[in-house]
Amino acid sequence: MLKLDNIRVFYHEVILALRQVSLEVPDGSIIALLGSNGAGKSTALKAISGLLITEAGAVSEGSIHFDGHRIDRMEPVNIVRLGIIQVMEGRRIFQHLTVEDNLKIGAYVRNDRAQIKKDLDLTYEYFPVLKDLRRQTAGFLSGGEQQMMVIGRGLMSRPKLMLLDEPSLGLAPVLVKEIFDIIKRINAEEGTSILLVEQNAKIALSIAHHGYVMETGRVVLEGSADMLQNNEDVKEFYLGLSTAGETKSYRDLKHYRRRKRWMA
Amino acid sequence: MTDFLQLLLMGILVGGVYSQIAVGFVVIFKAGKTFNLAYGEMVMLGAYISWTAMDQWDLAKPVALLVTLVFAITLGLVVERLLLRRMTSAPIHTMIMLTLGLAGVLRGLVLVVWGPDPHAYPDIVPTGTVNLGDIMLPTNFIVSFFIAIAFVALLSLFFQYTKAGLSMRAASEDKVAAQSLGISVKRIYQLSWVTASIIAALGGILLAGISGVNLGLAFMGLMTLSVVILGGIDSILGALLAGILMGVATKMAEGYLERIESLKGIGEIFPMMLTLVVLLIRPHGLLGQKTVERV
Repeated sequence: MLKLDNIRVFYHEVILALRQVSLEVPDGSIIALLGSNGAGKSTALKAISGLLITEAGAVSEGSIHFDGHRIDRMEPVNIVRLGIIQVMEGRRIFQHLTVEDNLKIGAYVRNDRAQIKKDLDLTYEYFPVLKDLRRQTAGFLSGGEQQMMVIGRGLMSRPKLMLLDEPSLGLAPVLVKEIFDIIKRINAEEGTSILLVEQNAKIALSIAHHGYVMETGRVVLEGSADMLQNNEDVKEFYLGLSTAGETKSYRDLKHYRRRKRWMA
Repeated sequence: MTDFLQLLLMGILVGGVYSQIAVGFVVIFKAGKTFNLAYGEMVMLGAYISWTAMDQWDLAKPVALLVTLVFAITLGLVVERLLLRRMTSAPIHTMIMLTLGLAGVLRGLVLVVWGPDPHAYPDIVPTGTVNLGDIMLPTNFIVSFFIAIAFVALLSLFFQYTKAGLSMRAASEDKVAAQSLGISVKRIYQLSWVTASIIAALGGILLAGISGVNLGLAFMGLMTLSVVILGGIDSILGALLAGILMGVATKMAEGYLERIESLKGIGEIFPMMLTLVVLLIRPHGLLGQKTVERV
């Protein structure tokens, strides 16, 4: 169980990126974290995985706990060892390494050779296309294959919690569907908890149990996935649906006011 | 013809040692994307330490080698911990200037401790020559060559197949992604400096066996920078190829071009000229990695 308790994050000690963010990821759940660009979603993930330090960021207030350990001052290495893996935004592959070496490096913190071998087969089972490409240099893979590879690479660490940062980025809708189906399977079959950051709110809420909406560094809304899917504001701002039948000018005004309330 | 073959073979033998030394640059560059300009001095120190252990302290040769190894590991650890660790987020040219400063300090230290006089190096391997018809090859050159090549082969196996090697390659491509998988970048830097320091010390021993112990070893060590640039700065195989090419080019230039009175000394700069021409044609060096990109 992961718990963020009122955390505040600064970059370079002056740029306030998160103010009072609290959220929970219960064991075995899929939690969606939604919001527009710059809302602080990725910052929240980096605060959890410890990667903030690579960008001169730090949690200045509040705390992050995972399975009874306080992790907000830990080195990323030790956080990975506790079972949290972040799959970073934008498919950060090792392009000169082969697909199989990319996957193997995912198991870096582990020493149980026999089980690693089994997990490699398991990863190929989830992503059969990678098996055919195993000796290929990773840089030559297509975007979708690369995204599958980095998720597989994360899986190779046998995480208790996976932080996925925009797995749908730049992919064709049909591929997005395929990848999200696999994420759902991983959650169901391996029991891996998943914290999912997405711009694509529709697909994220379709597999998530619970969701949080962020704006300008704060959580502005949270609830079950069903509740969020039916929420008027979420519908309008994130799902691109709006109530029909209202006059345009009135709706614009209402939209503006509602938006303003959110951003405050 | 005999002349030509003699020069060719000597060039290859010397080139093997160049390659072995050059690999140290590759290791540092792969890990930190920086050049270590104190590398020549580290090579020289390896030679001086092993010479002192054998010649001054009268230690048995294997023990002397062990002493040198321990010294090299310590040097790598200390330099990384005291200097480079503080610079991990500094711009690359800051790190390069730092290693330039270190070069000066180490050279000064050698002068203070050992003085400027050259010394003869004890024979680690049997002396003599191997005669192939009219071609005469010194045994120590041959042995040095094979030691150097074996070492380079071992090193490339290390990078290809071991977990530590794989993690070093991964970290050299994307440090943040490597960290996200639990690879400690600090450990990678440490490992790369220790590895490079060991390579330098071994190179110092091999070079000293060929040309004796003197301050010029630092220059010879640094000269291999042009070898790695020629080979492609991040490729071990490239360093191997370029080292041998460079050895042959140097010997040929010394053998043929220096017969012309006005070209005396061209052997020393010929490799650089060669590097320049190759870079004009292949900016990534012979085997340097281009950024892989799908078209």
